[in-house]
Amino acid sequence: MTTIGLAGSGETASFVARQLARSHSVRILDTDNGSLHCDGAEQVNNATSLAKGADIIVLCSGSDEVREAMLRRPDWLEAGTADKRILIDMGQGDPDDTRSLAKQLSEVGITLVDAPLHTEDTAAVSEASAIFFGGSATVLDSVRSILEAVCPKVIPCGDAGSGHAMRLVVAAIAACNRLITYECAAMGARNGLTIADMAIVLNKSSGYNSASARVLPALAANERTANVTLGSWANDLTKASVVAMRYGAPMLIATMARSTLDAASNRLGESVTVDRLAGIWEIDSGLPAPGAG
Amino acid sequence: MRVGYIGLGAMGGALARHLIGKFPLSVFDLNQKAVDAFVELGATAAATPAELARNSDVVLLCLPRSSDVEAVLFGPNGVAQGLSSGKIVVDQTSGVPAETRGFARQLEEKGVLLFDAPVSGAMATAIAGTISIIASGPKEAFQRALPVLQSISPNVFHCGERVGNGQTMKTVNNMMNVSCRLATLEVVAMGRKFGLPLEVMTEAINATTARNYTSQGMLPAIAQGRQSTKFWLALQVKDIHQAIGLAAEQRVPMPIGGVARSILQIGLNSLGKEAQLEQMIGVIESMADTKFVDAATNAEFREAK
Repeated sequence: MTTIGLAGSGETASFVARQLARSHSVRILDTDNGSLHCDGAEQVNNATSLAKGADIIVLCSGSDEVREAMLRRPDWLEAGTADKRILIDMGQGDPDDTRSLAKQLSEVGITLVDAPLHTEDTAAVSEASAIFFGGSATVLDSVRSILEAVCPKVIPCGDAGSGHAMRLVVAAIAACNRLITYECAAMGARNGLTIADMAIVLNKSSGYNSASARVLPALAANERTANVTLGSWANDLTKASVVAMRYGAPMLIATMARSTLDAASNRLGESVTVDRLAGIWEIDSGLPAPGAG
Repeated sequence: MRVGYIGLGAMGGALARHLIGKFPLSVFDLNQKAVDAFVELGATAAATPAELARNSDVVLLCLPRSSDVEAVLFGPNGVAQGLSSGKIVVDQTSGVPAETRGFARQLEEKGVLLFDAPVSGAMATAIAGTISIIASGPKEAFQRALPVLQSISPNVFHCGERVGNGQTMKTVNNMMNVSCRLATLEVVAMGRKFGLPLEVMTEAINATTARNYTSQGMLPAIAQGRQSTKFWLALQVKDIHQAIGLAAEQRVPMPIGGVARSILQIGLNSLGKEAQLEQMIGVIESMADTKFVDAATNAEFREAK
């Protein structure tokens, strides 16, 4: 059985570890004081122990500092015994940093590939989630079963860094879908439409988007749609904005979305889910809160 | 049931064609060529909107703006002059809900019921008879006119008895569509600048919560060199101004809608009054100084795949 060493933190890393532990031997290194949980996985205390005996290393951290520290000083990987040392970055890095890191690490015999997971709800990962793979087709062949154990949809995007770039594209549009849905639904509701009518009509019309399909029926039924956090989305959109500025892409709407998410994250807290954004539109638009009246 | 249709432009003409052969049909339009085409298919040309109304039990209108509806209803030789108690007017214009409610109140004094039933969808769906019809207004009038609407498309929705709700829904739909369209295009432009191929971005977006009407329709069409919309940009700007107006009336903040409106306005000012919505693709490309389709990159990716 393949042994996977996973270093990371938070809900996404815990989800990845749990998925992997179903079919692989997994050992985990918590990089953030107790936020990484996985029943059945062996817990280790340092990176060297993680690498020792691991066939593949997965890095899944929401912290840029942790990613930087582990990727810029890869001495710990020398403890690994695998012939080909493959490091899969499932966190969200800056695509250009990933490109340059992959090049540097290849010079010391380490293959860095990026394979970030986009999901708004890990409980429904098979429905509208995907892993975006940046790396060679040969490496993808060798790690595909590992990635598919996390999420059945794996999309090859190009060389190292392309997976991270693709995830930023997807994250930015997904965030826009949701913010646009709240904004437009608030306008409709204040002008006399019911959320239930909008859920039916808009999703059969050209206003359809993935958020309207999930969020509007959930709002009408007072249900949740996501477990991704505001802080995570704000970070994604910030990285997307940085890439846009670097490459000279205006991205007017997504930049507005970035500001909105940062404001919401500051207002409600980084750890609340993106479903809580609905409350902001309700207050800002003068709508009654769900269940009121 | 005798039916009259006023406004045989691109959308109105496509909708009215479904009524030929199903109802005795009278038509009126300022464009004589459009009228002649319907007469050849068996419709009767009315000399004035008033004459059309006298010869119809149900009068449908599909005009560019609410101001045009007002002129056709209440102007000289207007529809109102030919209406009598019990007749029904169906406004399929993407109009201003409050103004439409005003028209309904005026006609009610004559015993005439008016409801709104704008449509939502691409021109291809209007031609195919699958477009969404979003009606609102008195249930009684809606039920009586329903066979006419269902002849145009089976996808008919009724959004309450308040006249104008259909137009509000259409306006919300337009705003969502335009905002998602422009957001998708501008972010994909960023991806193109990084070097991601359009085809793989389209696959990734459509596999995830990023998917929307644009990613499913316009992005594949761009990759294949096809046109995916046929709509005047000026009318799209008008629709979005209407959405911003509805938001402002109710003091609802629309920061993203406001940015989308500005981008469309820049496009219209740059391209001119005759521009099509489809040309916004080029506007977004030039704003980002990139091209969505790079044959070499796409071919390279397909080969690698």
